[in-house]
Amino acid sequence: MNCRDINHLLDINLHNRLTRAQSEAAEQHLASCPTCREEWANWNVIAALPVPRMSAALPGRIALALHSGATAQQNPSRRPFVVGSLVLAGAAVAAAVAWQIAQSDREDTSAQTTSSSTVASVMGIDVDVQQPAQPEASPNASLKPGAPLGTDASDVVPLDPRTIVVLKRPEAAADAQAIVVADQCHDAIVSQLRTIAGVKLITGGASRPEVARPNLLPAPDQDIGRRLGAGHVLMISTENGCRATLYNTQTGMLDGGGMYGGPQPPTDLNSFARHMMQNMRDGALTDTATMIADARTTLFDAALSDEARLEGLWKLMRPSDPGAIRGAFDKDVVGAAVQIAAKSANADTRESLWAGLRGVHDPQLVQPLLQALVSDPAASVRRQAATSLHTFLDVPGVREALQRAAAEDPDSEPAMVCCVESVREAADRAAVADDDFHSWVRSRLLDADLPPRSRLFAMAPFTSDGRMVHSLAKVGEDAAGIVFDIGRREQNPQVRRLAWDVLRSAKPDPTFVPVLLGDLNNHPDEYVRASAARLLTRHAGSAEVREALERAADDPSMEVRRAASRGW
Amino acid sequence: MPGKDNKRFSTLVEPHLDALYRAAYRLTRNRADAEDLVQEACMRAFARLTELRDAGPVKAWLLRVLHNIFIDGTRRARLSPMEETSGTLALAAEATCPAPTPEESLDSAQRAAQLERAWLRLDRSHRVLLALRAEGYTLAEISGITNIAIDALTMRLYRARQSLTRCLHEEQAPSARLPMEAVK
Repeated sequence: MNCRDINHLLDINLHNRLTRAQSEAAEQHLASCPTCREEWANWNVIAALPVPRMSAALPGRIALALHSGATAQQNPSRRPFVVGSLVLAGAAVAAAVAWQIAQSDREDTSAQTTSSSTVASVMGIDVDVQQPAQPEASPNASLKPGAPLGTDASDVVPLDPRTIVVLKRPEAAADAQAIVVADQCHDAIVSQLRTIAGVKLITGGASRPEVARPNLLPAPDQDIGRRLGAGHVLMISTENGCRATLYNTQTGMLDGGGMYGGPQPPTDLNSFARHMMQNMRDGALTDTATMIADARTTLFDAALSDEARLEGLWKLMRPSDPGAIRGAFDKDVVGAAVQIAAKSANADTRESLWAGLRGVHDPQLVQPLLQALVSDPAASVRRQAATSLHTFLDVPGVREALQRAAAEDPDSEPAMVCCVESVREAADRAAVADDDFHSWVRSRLLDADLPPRSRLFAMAPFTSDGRMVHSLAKVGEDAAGIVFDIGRREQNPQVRRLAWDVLRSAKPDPTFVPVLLGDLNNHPDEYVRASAARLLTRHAGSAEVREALERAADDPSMEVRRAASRGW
Repeated sequence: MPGKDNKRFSTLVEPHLDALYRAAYRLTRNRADAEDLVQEACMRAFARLTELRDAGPVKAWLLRVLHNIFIDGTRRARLSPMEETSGTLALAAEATCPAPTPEESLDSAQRAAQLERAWLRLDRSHRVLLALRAEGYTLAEISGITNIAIDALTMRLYRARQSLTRCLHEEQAPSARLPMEAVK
């Protein structure tokens, strides 16, 4: 076993799921491998760090934020706001006026002198969506001030992510001291932001004080950003000394931020501002293209180790934005990855590469993947190759190769843990077209000739091809009953546990409760008891279930106690 | 906000707030940031309430939302200055040791403080996996939250622990130590 295999075992062992032989193998490896020993020791320290309780006010704060966020979304045109040196609306507090007037001239001057790419403040532009006004011409053409204010949203110019509207937002309750601190904070951050090449700042504006701190950009401020073509709105408030919050204008969502704690004027505000600037620069203000360019630089750097170059490939796998990043997998990237795979003697690296390229439809991948499927000595690599070949089912010969592997690969037995498929299983799944997937899952579930584990495994949401079945409803209304029946009859604790785990994706069915209660109360396998407890927490409306879960607080197994108290 | 949605959302989410907060704290090592992260996750989750019907278990769905915010958009977790993070450990880090030899240089408090700084330098995609692991979620559960297949997940956990140790070594090397504001 190599280090990675042992790490896999140790991860599993966090839930005490190893056999004695596996535990001994892991212990022996740790005793002889100082690298693994150090890595695990370090992580154990991190895992043991305490987590303080959340504040009791958090639920209320969230409720308030939900309410105010929704209100802002519902009534976008009812709330006056300003950009520029004048605060509109009588309700705006004197503090806000003082805050703005004290700053505006200074900002305007420094903006023009510190950087030619910085846009001076849009002084004198008073904006009220109820009384539309025309903006003055911007001193910098690249500002793209947008359509005349008050026109339809459809007229608004495209947003530039590197244009930021900076708004101050004094809280209604802010005192003079708080204003001073926030003012200094504003200056320091603006000054730092001006050092970023290509960033355009629109300063001198203020937002109206809000009763609640919104985690959504207030609609009027969002409108300001849109009309000025600014991709971001940076709000600097007096809250807790100084809170700087960067919002994405398009979505109104947070895109970064930070808070300078403490009521006193900070002594190291510049450090905080620099920190803010660096994070904005490296995060929200780095566009996808730049991020891709950085990743490519790493990937193509032949002087780096294979492992290091691989990090470049991982950078291209941003889970929540796969569409944008997938475009980065051009022939050069794929070619570099294939090249590394061809020469790497490290099975982990080869597996990582094929995993990283899953879903990339580049024909130059087909032959190397087929080669890996047939001849790579490591089962983990063949398994990943099979999974990644799913993308090429339309290429002649690929489906047949997968079917052959499903029938002939030497790795035919499921691995020792439930979550790792054999190569045969992986190839079998990979050979199924997406359109047929749910019916394939269903046919497996219904196939009484298959071993129960294999039947359930088709349903389990943790296979290597990423096609997770989160909802039992997708494979048929009666599927939950079938899974329950398999679990009820199956004596193998792993399979029984898997059945209860799978059922967590189904609608709660009270007819399952008696069997689950029996398992929670009596099953000798602690993990079956824990899985039953997790499932039962969905029936906590029943007094009998509640009592059983409460009794489980005395279960000798920590896994069961946690499951009964936390659910899932 | 339709009151019915609001009530439904509260009923669904409130039982899981503590779990969300714990995960968020692990990520940020900072209570204020953790609570903000949870709040944003709730805001975003509320906006997607209609998705919930098909999204499976509520807690996993909420953690998925929180995970996505942390990974992709919100840099809140790495934005606060260090003076806001765990005072106890910061103090421990400042404790002096009488002329330690290299072997003795890391007493447990110092090591924890160094590790915490290393933790905050760790790539967010690695941090989130280890944080969920530290919270006791199983590989299957983390797979469901992060949408990373199990095979890739175990590999990435392995790499995450390697990276943590690399970050620690950088933290321990005086010449390589970065000012705190440069911490990712």
